Amino acid sequence: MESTIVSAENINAYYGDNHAIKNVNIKINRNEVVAMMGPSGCGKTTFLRCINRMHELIPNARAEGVMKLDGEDVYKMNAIYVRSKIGMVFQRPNPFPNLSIYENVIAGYLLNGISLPKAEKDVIVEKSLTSAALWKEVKDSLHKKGTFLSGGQQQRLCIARAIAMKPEVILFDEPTSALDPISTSSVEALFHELKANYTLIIVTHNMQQAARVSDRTAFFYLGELVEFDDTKIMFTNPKDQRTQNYITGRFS
Amino acid sequence: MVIGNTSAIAHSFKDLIFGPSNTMASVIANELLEADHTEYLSALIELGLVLFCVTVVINIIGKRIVSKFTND
Amino acid sequence: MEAKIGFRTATSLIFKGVIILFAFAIAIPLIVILFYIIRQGVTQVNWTFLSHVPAPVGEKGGGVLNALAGSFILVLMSSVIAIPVGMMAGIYLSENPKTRLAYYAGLCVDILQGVPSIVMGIVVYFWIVKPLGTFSAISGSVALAIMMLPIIIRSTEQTLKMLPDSLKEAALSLGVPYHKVILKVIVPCGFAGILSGITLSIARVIGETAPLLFTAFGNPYVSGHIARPMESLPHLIFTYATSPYDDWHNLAWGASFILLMFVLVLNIVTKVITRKWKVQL
Repeated sequence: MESTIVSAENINAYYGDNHAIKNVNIKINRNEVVAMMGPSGCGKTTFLRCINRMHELIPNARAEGVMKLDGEDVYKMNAIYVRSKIGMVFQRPNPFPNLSIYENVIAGYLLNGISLPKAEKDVIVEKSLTSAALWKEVKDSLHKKGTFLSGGQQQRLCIARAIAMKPEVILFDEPTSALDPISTSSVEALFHELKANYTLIIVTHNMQQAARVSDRTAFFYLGELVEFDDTKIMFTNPKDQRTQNYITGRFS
Repeated sequence: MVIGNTSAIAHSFKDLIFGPSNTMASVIANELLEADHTEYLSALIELGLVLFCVTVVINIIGKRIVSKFTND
Repeated sequence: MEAKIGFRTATSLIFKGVIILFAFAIAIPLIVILFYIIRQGVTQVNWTFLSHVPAPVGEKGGGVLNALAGSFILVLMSSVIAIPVGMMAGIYLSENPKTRLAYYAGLCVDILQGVPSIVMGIVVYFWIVKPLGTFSAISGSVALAIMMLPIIIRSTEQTLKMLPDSLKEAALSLGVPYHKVILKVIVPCGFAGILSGITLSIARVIGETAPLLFTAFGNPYVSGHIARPMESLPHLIFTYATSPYDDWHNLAWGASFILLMFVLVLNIVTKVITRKWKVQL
């Protein structure tokens, strides 16, 4: 099995006339945690959304180039199929308020009308919630609506929901920026455990977080991928002057 | 029902306010089913058209006023 | 300086008093009407009243069953027509707010809301009653449905617009196709608001007479046939209240009481249901 799972070749993305992503080439390996960092407006979130074609939801947004998931170009595949193979966790936790916790976890199947036998559903729910480190806290209130959960717990519920679809890659769009420090550290601890079974790509505004959780880090600036290397090297001995300026805080 | 169903032009201030009269809607309601020749029917429908146009014009004026004060 | 402050405080108190006075003043006509109708009508309502059709003048024991059944059937049929169409239009307007179609459709909805109900009656008279050759419940329902549409469309649109985009994003990122996102996530989350719009529109049309004057017309018997004339509560009240007979006046009072109570109960039930089912975002 090839080790590259996501391969972006000459990706250019536009919002109308605004050239937001300029010729990005990047290869991401299986079971690694990649952090994407950069100042506001550098295009890291745009690029993340290009991976699972969520950028298409914004009117006037288009992407060109080849984005391969496991060797197949996602821009040539059915968008809905692509999104079911790639999980995504957003900045603000967004569990479905009209569904119970149990239903939220299997929402991917439920909303698609895929019916599974109850035993199988129970197994998926328990496994996903355990992987998201939430099982113990909610196992007695699975059929309540998730509104009583704290921000960190809701975010972990969203992670469980993404995991339940058995994706190979999970994308995180600034997953802890809306959370308090304790919830943030519980979610970061989760990244370490999820790595064994999934590939994680995390956009983060927080350099220290990138340094803490990732194997390799990508630095985006003004729509270009400036540097992509092992995290240790990026933060101690970066090759590009712009990266050096960013990590020393000359601009944020 | 309460307007008096009298098509008459008021000749004094007292009649204007306190006398029986008609509105476009009450005339149509009372006389549409009894209109026996086409001119009568057409006249009543024209009343409906006038009523409709009045409401459309007032609606558009109202929308313009609202948009002026909302500055969306 | 102190004199000025004293003057301003006094003016503020006076205005406060005036506003409170006017607030009560507005409630007074409503309360007077409610009490008067209840007093005149409640004595009329008994089992005979609810289970018999109107008796000929002079005979005792008439009722309003034909109007009750008729109103029920008319409102049911117009809901069946108006609710799906209205909801779909509202969903379109909330999902595509910037298109030209949305602009002109919104304009038409606003104008439709202001069209006098009698004009609606005339139009449906020529569309359905003339071709069909007879007054009918179906024509009455169509007229009422057209009147229900703007309320349902606007309330659906407003409710769905208030839902955050993050809901749609979450569902789409799971690989759910767009139409299922709308049907299984967005609409259920906005259910409370949509339902209150629907009940509001029902409360409005159940009391409308003008569009039914030339369409459903009226029927002294209970009828289930949709291609024949049908009686309705407000139409019965109109006919009997303007008649010269005291018996019939009493029937009109009883019917007014029932109509009033129904609209009151509908409004209260709406508030209770929407509070219970309101989705905590």
